[in-house]
Amino acid sequence: MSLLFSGLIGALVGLAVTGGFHIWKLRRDELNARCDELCDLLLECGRTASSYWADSFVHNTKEMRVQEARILGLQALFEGLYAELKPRLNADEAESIDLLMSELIDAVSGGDFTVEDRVPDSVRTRSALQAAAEAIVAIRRAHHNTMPFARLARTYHDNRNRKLDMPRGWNCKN
Amino acid sequence: MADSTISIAENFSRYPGPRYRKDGPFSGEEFREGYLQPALSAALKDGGIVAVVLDGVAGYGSSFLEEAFGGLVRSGLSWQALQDHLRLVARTRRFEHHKVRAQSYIAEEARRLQTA
Repeated sequence: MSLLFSGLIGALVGLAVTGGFHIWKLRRDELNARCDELCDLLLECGRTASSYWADSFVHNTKEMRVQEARILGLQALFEGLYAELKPRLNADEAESIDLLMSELIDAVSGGDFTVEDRVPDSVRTRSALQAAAEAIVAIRRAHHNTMPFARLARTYHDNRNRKLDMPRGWNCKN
Repeated sequence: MADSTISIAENFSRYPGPRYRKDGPFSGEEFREGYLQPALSAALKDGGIVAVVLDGVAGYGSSFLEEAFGGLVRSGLSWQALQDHLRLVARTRRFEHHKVRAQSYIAEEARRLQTA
């Protein structure tokens, strides 16, 4: 009887541990997928905006209006996805990502966005993609840091690759 | 002292549009001239505060935000007056970086006019 009871307890504990792990894994996979999706969107938005700013609006109104709609749609999409991801990130990292997102939306849809007689903007052509890339790197890093023991692993690898900057081969005879 | 609240989604449009009136409906210029400036003028007179709620719209082009909020400085309102009488509100996470952006447009424009 006691053998059966202890077997049952063991099975229940095993079930709880396995169930817990699977729930964690499910959430982790979902977080990974959202992060990948968000980064793809940021890059696509950066690319679309870069191409939009490289062109002149004059004689090209229809194409420009379509690109504007695409940029605004992508922007709404990545803002929504980021809002879902944000609570799972470290608060300080999320705050710095907010600043990068703010820079990004300025780069993609600021300035003379929607202004019909605007000329090509070489600064925004560059900065749209650069701002998107910066945001992606920051989001990837913050996402990585949500992994268990991420900081410990980072410290280990930093230390492993660290080179001593102290002078070596001192002549101690003097 | 009468405080007022303007919700862009509820009082203006769920789909804010371009920068200037001439480029399409629901522009930043239209919002500033039709809603923000009248409310701020009243607030400056009686010492009230205007709260602008950014949430609930489908999305903002930054040019809309620049024209609506940076444009306040260009239209003659001082940075200090805006600090005292204007509050930008983002109730949900999605609009927090828009709030950051709009505030930085006000600060940038004030700095630009100061050094010009």
